[in-house]
Amino acid sequence: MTEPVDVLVIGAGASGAAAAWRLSEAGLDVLCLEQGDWVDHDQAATTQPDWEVRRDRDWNPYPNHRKLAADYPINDSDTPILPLMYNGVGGSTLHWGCCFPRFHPSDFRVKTLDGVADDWPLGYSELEPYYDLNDRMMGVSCVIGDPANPPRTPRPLPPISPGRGATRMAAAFDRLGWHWWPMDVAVNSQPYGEGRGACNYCGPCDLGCPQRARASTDVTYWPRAIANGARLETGARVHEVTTDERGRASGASWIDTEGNAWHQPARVVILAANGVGTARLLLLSVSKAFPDGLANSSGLVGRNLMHHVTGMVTGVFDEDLEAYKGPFAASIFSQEFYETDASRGAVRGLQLMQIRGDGPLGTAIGRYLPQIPWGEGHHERLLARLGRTATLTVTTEDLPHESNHVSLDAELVDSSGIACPALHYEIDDNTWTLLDFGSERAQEVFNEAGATEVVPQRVVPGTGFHLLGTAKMGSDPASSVVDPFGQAHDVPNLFVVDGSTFVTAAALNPTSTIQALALRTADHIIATRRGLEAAS
Amino acid sequence: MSRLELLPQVLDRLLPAVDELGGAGELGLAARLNDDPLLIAAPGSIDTVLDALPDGYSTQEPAAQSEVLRQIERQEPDAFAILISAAYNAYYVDPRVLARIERRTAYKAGAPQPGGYGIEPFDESILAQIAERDPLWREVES
Ligand SMILES: Cc1cc2nc3c(=O)[nH]c(=O)nc-3n(C[C@H](O)[C@H](O)[C@H](O)COP(=O)(O)OP(=O)(O)OC[C@H]3O[C@@H](n4cnc5c(N)ncnc54)[C@H](O)[C@@H]3O)c2cc1C
Repeated sequence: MTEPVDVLVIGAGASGAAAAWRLSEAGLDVLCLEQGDWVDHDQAATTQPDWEVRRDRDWNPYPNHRKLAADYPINDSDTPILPLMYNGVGGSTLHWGCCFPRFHPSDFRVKTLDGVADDWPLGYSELEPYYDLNDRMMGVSCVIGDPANPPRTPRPLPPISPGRGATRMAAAFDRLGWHWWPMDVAVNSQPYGEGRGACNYCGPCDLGCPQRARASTDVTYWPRAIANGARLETGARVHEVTTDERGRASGASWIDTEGNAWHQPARVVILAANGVGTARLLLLSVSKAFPDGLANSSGLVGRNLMHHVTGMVTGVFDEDLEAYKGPFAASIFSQEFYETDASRGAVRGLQLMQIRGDGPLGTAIGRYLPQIPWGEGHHERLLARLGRTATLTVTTEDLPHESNHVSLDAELVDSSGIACPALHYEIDDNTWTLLDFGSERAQEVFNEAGATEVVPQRVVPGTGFHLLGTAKMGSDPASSVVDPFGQAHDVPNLFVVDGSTFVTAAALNPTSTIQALALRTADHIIATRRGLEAAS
Repeated sequence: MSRLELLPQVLDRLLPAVDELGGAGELGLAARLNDDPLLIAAPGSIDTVLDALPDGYSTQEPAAQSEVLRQIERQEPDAFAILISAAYNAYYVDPRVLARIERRTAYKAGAPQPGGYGIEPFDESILAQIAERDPLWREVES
């Protein structure tokens, strides 16, 4: 039989990598099982002349469209939001926009402040040291002094250039008297970290970065975790977290790419498969002791699925902004409307975040604006748009509802024959109100900035990039799946470190918070490991 | 007239000649459409559009041809949309097309990496007004 490891991590994405590194630093024997493979950044789509069509093919963030061998299908017929992710070493950070804001202190207290959802069982100050540690590990570029957030330690790297479009928009925010600030970005503005160069402003971070300036966890945490002795088994698709007769996690069963079945015993199991993958695994792990899925005595596994429902407003300018230059998603943001204001008719708030422009194909096909019509006039219209647009995304806080959930599909299976997840999700009235309010404000900024054309999209379906809430954290086992350290209430040597544990979603990109929580959980495991009851 | 001859003519109307560049058909892009996964997934799309062309299409004036295509677009929106996407996919990866765009803008033809772009450095003075603002985050008890 394979020897048991101290800690078995399932999923090598943003959270799994952070946890594996921290645990391996403390000398624990860590093994990670990851269904995908390593990605070769030297062969990234950005190095190929057909890079723009690749975004609609093997580098599409929607797994149901991309259909790579490591992907599992997701039934999304009952949700207006398409789930986006990548399955490989680095997980969804292989596709991400690298925006790295932090939760606000108020985000942890929504019940107390606004009477909705629940408070988190921890606060900003407990997480702050882990945010800082994570920033140093990932490499974050920005400048301190943002009045919309608590003071921060100096950023590891100076800011990325926001580009001409953001400079013009920033002046408009100033004239309106509205908040804006450069976004904290997990992209190197200067060489930082082993083997990692500086951003050269090529643009499409989502298609791979041969400079390794973009902080995907395969170039940040994993090399250091592996140097510490952590092991990573790729092509390993887990289908069950196994338990012993006392209900302790005993390891995981997995299938390799040839279809061979394996079991890996472990003293502690950590789930880091993201808000869809972790819920799927818990629901798959049915036994006599856990007939409704593992750690599911509350009935909340898979429940409270949250995204950040996103609207978009794009402005066209009569000036060449060279908008295709620079990290596509990262420039400036506004949190003027972040906190609750009852006069809006909704609780909680939103963030406006500026996106840069597209290349020629994206401009013609119409990713941010409607497609450019074919025929006479096509070429002039293309040149009137290419490099001359800016987009503001409207990121709203998505409140948790038990009816929004991940279940196991009755029919759909992946290439290993394992049942696949199905998503059930509706956008609530609070979100619609925030989306409309945010869209109006974004249009106001574009008008102030002198855009010649302003085009709103109320909601963009292909924005299910944040997968949260499906194994909620809390102190009460009746109303949560894991405790304040991500430890399953029902299974003491089982932990969850991905965005599943989120109590609420805030109105901003979640990954710095996901990783800070993962590091904190790792420290808790290190501190309590002698008392943790492993499987017999 | 065979399909092989008709498709380039259609492409020339969708993405017509511009500056020194021929239309998409003249550029020989019809053959590339066959490899597009969109058309592999919906193989009948091109035939649906071509089958709807009237006799004598190829001898019509460009404006009349465009009008015919607009009618087909209304009658067969799904097939036509796939044809358009595939045509754009083929056109906007063609080096001759991208070279023309490069001549007219600061956009660089070819792969974004390893060259990247030069860009104006971050200018801290743009923060002058906002940096003066009082804190606007909400204090809460920990
Ligand atoms: C297009 C896009 C843009 C984004 N932009 C941003 C951004 O700008 N800022 C931000 O904060 N966030 C962004 N995100 C979200 C961010 O990538 C995620 O929040 C983050 O990666 C989640 O980390 P995770 O560890 O929970 O899951 P992931 O990073 O998704 O990793 C999960 C891993 O688990 C593996 N796995 C799943 N199931 C199994 C199984 N059964 N067996 C073995 N392995 C398994 C998967 O293969 C995957 O590698 C973006 C995401 C996308 C898709």
